[in-house]
Amino acid sequence: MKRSILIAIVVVIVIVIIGAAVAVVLLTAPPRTLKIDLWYNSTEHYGPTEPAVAQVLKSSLEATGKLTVNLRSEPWTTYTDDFGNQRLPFFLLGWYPDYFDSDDYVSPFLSTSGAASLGSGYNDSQMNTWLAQEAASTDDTVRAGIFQQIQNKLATDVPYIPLWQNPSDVEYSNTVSDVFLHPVSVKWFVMNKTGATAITGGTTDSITSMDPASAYDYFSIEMINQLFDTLLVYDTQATTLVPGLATVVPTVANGGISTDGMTFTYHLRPNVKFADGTDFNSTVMKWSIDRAIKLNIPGSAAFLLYDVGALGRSQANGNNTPVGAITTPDPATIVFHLSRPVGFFNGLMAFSVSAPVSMKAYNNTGQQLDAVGKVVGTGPYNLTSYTPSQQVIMTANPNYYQPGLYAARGIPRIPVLNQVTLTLSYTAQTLKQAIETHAIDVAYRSLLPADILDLKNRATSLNLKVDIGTNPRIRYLVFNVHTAPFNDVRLRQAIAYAVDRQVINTTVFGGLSVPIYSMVPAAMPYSLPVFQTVYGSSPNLAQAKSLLAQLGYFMSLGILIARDRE
Amino acid sequence: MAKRSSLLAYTLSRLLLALPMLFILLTAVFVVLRILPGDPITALYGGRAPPDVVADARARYGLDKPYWDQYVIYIRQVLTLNFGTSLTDPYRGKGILDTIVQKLPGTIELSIGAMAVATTVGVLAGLVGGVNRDKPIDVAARLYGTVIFAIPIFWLGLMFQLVFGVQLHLLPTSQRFSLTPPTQVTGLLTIDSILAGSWPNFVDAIRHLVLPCLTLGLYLSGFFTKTVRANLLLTVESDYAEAAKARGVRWRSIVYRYAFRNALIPVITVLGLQFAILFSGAVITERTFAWDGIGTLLLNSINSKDYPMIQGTIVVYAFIIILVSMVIDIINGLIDPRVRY
Repeated sequence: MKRSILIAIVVVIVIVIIGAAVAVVLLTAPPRTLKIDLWYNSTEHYGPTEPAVAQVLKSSLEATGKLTVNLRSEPWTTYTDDFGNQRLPFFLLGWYPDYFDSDDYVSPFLSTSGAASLGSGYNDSQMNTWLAQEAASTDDTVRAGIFQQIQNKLATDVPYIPLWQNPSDVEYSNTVSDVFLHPVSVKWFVMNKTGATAITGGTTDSITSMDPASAYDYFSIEMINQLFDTLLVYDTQATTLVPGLATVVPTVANGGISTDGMTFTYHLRPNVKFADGTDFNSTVMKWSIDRAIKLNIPGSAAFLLYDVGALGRSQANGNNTPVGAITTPDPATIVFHLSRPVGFFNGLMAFSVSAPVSMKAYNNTGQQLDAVGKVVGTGPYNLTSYTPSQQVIMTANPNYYQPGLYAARGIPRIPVLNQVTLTLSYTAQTLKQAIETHAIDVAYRSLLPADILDLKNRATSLNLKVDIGTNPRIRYLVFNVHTAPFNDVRLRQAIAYAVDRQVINTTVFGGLSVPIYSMVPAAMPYSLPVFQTVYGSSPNLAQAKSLLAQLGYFMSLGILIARDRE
Repeated sequence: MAKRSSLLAYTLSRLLLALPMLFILLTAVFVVLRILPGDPITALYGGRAPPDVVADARARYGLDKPYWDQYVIYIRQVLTLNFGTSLTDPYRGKGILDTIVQKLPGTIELSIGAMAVATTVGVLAGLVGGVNRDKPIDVAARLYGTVIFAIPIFWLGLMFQLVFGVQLHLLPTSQRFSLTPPTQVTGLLTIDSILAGSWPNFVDAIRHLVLPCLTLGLYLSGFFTKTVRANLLLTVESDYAEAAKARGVRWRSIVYRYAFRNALIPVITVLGLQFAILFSGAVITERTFAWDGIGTLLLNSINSKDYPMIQGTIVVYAFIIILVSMVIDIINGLIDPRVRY
């Protein structure tokens, strides 16, 4: 009897000890997966599709079986503050170019200063050298070679993973023609409508400012492109630069660009007048550029001129460009002397911030009001009515200097229609309703992907045309390369193997988006699909797993779990 | 005479009480905005500009100063009725008060229309229900009162848009206006159209007003229905109604001439209370119908953390609500002899 009790006690003790041991092993076992946070913006800065994109990315990364992805989101104001201060380790971001040169798809990301602003912290001296070289050069062969090296290194170092480009779309009535989805600016002044002299359009956007020195959002720039002109302008459909207020596009060959790439000379068209009757000449051009730089309005694009464009901003010279940076040898010639070679300077001269304004109507002490009679440019249209957030009306400029600007493109005379009336500030839903009911002739920016498809499918019965193109904005993932565990390049490469661009395209964008395999999108010169070459066009889970296994995180006791903020 | 001077004293004391209230609100808004993470200037550039450009922009708006200095500047601005300029798109560089003044008529037009719908529908439904107590029509009115108050505003709005806009093509589903807006005098598009003598403009303004006003008005009408019905039942059962009945006054006359009128007095009090709800409802209605008012303005500014704009909008909101509730109090005193100050 006593013996059996003793045995029972021993058995119980043994069971307890074994149980405790099993519990200890289980509780202190290493995590079976690496836990990472993926951040996205929650306030629709990139539209309402963002949470769905994050969800797809989470699934494709977790398909490796070795990663657990925790989705986290923030409003845009917090998001920018956090990634700008290097507080986000792994996040989704987008980029809309300022000038149409491949440089604007690499320098902002891969130069040390750009990478700090965009939250990746990437810093590589070889890369900085290449970037300086390609930016300084206007020689296609030289640049192609450098861009190849840059993109190859991008695919090896993986501070970013390029993912996709959004669709751009325009919906318009069957009676409307010559609507071109241009990547920089949709030209309302080339549109035509059967049997009409006026056209109505609608947008979800609103206008922040029609002052070239202040505007830096899409639709404000869009307005400036109809009301003002720049030295160079874009072709109706391609991103080729053609002469605008200048007579020729400067090149090294025609002597417009010095061989060192630091001096740009533009010859100006004669007899150009502003809408208020004042003359356009090199003095006005210089004054307008100086005005944008001097005002340096917060939130404006002025830094593209004095910083990116190397014109400089001199305190000694009243915050204008330094003495000698811009010279005007005669009324029809303006010369820009840059402090370093900027190969894409012509692109900056086609940007809205460089549009000349009337010296009579504008002053260089403050921002211009957006009112009829105050917005004075040389463009195809004049502003004739503006109710902020509601409506803007543009009417043909009777003294437009270059009606035949796009004659070679089959548009004999611009502006084609006498008047354009745009209704502003629609919501995506109400914009769809407006075009569906033909309350407007043209809907441009921005419908939801599902609505674009719906309209496309019903286009014939609705008497609509739906054009779908590619938005120049690229979307990508960013790693902060200094934050564990993403400071290990193998983890970044494993994620590059695992992401599934096709699923993002099909499930979120209904097949309308374009997967990209380099930060330089396919439509730009020197673009090479380096991520496709290195990581494949569909997920390679075997490679991803093998890299993740090499990392060895899984053997530690969960200490190296990624933390969101340190 | 005595009443008038006491009314004056009452109005003055209410005004004086409103001042510390506004001050506390101003401080609370300032503190909350600074505690919340995020920064309007970095959001404005979104990582596009070099750090020195961002720093320069922040300095120009005084955002690099210590919070205490910013607070002093802010209070000084409010006292001089100059709320500064907006920091972020799409109002960047524009005066706060100018922008609010420009947006306010949209909200006023919507609010008046919605209140008209709410009182008409609400009072009628309450009256019908109260008169026909416990009959099917009363049950229907009560059900309506509860259901309409429980329906989310945006859903009601979307349904109206689908039916009247997309399916029937009867009414516009968004914005305040489709034609070229008339010359701005009051900012109220209906009034401005009349002043400009343009009938098509007036019709256009009204057509745009219908759906948003119905949405917000019907939502608010539920509360009126319940209040009117409950008060009507109380008054019909009161002693004076019984007395009138005993003297042979017709039932119909008792209800409409005596009970109904008295039942309306509490409705006016409710009207005052409903104003705060009306304003919060207007924010959602404006969003649903892409309506250009201060509700949309407030939402956008909160999204972009536009400090001066949020501060300015909230002060204006508070000021209007304080003012309206005071006016309602005064009206109440004028029509109800029992009310004493």
